[in-house]
Amino acid sequence: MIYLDNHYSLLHRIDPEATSLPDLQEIIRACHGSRIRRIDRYIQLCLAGGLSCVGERELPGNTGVYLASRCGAVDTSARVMHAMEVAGEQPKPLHFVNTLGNSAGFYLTQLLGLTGNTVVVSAEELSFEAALAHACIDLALGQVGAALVGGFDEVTLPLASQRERLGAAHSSAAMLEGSHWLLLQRHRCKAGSQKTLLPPRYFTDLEQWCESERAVEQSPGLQLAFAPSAQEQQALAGLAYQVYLPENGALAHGVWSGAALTALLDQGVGVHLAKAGESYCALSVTHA
Amino acid sequence: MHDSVTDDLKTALKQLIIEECDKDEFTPADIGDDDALLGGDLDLDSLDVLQICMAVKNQYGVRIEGNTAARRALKSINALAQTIVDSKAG
Amino acid sequence: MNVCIRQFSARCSLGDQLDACVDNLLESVPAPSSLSFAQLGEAISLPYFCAPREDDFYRELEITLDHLLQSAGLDRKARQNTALLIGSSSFDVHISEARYRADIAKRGAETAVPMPIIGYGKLAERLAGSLSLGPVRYTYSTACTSSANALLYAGRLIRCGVVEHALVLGTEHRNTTSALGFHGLGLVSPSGEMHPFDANRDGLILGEGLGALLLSPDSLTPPHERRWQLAGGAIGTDNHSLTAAHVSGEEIASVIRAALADAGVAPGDIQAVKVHGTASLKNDEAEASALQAVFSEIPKAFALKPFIGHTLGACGALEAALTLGALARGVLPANPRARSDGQLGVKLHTSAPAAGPGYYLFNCFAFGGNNNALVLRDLGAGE
Repeated sequence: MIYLDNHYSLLHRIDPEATSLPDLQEIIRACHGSRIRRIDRYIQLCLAGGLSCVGERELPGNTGVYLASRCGAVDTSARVMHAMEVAGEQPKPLHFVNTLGNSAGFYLTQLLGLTGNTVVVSAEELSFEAALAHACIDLALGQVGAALVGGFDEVTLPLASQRERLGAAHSSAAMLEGSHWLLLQRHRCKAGSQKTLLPPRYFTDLEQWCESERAVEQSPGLQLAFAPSAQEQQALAGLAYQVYLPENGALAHGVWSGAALTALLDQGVGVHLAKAGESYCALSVTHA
Repeated sequence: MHDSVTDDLKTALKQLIIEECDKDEFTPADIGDDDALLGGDLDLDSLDVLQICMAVKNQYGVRIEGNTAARRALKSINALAQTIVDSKAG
Repeated sequence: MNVCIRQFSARCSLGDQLDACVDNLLESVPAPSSLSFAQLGEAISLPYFCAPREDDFYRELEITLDHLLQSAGLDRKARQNTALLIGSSSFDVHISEARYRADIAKRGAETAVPMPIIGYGKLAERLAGSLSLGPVRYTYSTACTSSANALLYAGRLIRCGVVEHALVLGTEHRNTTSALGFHGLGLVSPSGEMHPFDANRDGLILGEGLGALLLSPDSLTPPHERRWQLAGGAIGTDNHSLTAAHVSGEEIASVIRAALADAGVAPGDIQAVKVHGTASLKNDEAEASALQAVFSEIPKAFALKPFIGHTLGACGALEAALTLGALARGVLPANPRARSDGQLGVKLHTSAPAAGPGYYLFNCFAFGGNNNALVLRDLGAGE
């Protein structure tokens, strides 16, 4: 059984005309007590979310850290490429190291005093679920006693470039930037909410899955992290579900499904359903 | 342009270090010309050293290569300024 | 349940097929070629182990993976129950770089969008789609441990019953960002020779390539494909420094111990160690300290990076495939040019000793302190 100790989500709306981004160092300072130097926005998103989710808790030494990002440190990678191709300069050492996959986890584990299992995974729109699935595997195998799971993706300026990378060059919508976190325990914790979750299940046959969901008595409710197509709506017929989408038509990107899952946890319990391409991933949260 | 060590050059180098190493709690006035850059109040590490050397190369066209040369040049602001001036003169 | 490594393949500077790679690995130590960078304001040339590559990067990966699936005879249904796990530190950034260059030429530097291709998982999504694999598609971005971590989790996914089979790919394609990034950190060998654990080592040489492995539980593996097992492994974190391991080797020792415990073996059971051996000053020192802490007598040790370069995120899968290829011929790879000054206490063997059944340790460490150790088991040719 996997117990949910805490969850945390940070979600910023970035206006289409934005020329600056919300300050994250202030959130980090509030948790850690001082500013961390040399970290880019991608790492800042990791620290702001991760430290906020842990709060004052003492984590067991064998806490695993499971990080998810769909796109990684885009802004710093772009700076490195610009320096080489336009300025004709070598990448700055600090920029290069911040483009590497482990840098965010390095700072987070250092601040939390963790030296155990750390991994960074990605899986398109199911990136958050991928990190969560890794945590569930390690909790089930007893590789870790607790798991800190976080997903984050940055918005970069200028927004027009970011939209172009995301294949939404013609959009004029606002963008969302988030960092979404879960703290999971292998054993029931003394305090905290008493919710449990079942490991994510992957499938491609939505109809068949809906069939089995319809058979569940007293279903706790289903939340979709995507707008269902007409065909998907047909498959879902008869199931009570809600769709979690950004307010005011903002552009969902990156680990958006992490925002959906943490929002579901804010409300209580239920079944979370997300998708990438032809693949679906479902996850149930119940009261212990 | 830098044929002698001037206060302007030293201030510019202090500003370069503060920016490149993201030491924004410092101002140029906080860094003494002879203060140790490594291990002193600034507490720069090996990654900072690489970062500063690359910035000096890009900005002043002066190469500081290898660990020993870098540590010598980054002993203090005076040492760094002198390294740049000497290299220009040579 | 045992997890078998049924099929594996490699492509690197030693050749475009596993057999050719192993032939060359056991015969000679090739010299690296070099990379230069026309876009820079200064002339820089770096030693680099270039691999033979196909024109179409995506197609090259697809053909490699499809070949493994076909060799194992996985049908459509089995493929749907197969996870794809990709580890890389650069993915297709070389294509992103080329596209940006073309964009600058077309729209100008002001308008062109740097880093135009984003999404680490795109490659896995594309390959899994064209190979008709199942919905479990994970991409690992932990720098140089990426594909070692993919291999570790392939084993864990199978042990947990999440999937029946797992296809692991480690890939690195030559690109400007990685080459100049490592150069800027002062890590590339000025002498152009890699001498891991030597007192006069002066750094690494980068390289490119790919390694692919197919894993299944023994219950789903035909007897003739059961010779190799992924016996266990572990990940540990050393957050002492962003760019170098702690020279005490404490965290590396603990990840090796955790891997041995996970495999259920004692240090004395290890036949040989495939070292990470980057020939960097601090990392070799840390790895040597760790081996000394774990083993009362350090087993036979060999390094593959002097042959193929440091292939970054690909090295875990690629070096595993090359090692298994050598073991299949009954020998361990050797480092004929290794200098045995003994300063760090790790002596790489210089002539290829016969290899027997038993357990082998694979070390793999990354920037940002992500460390991986794997234990592979060779049951011998009789299996």
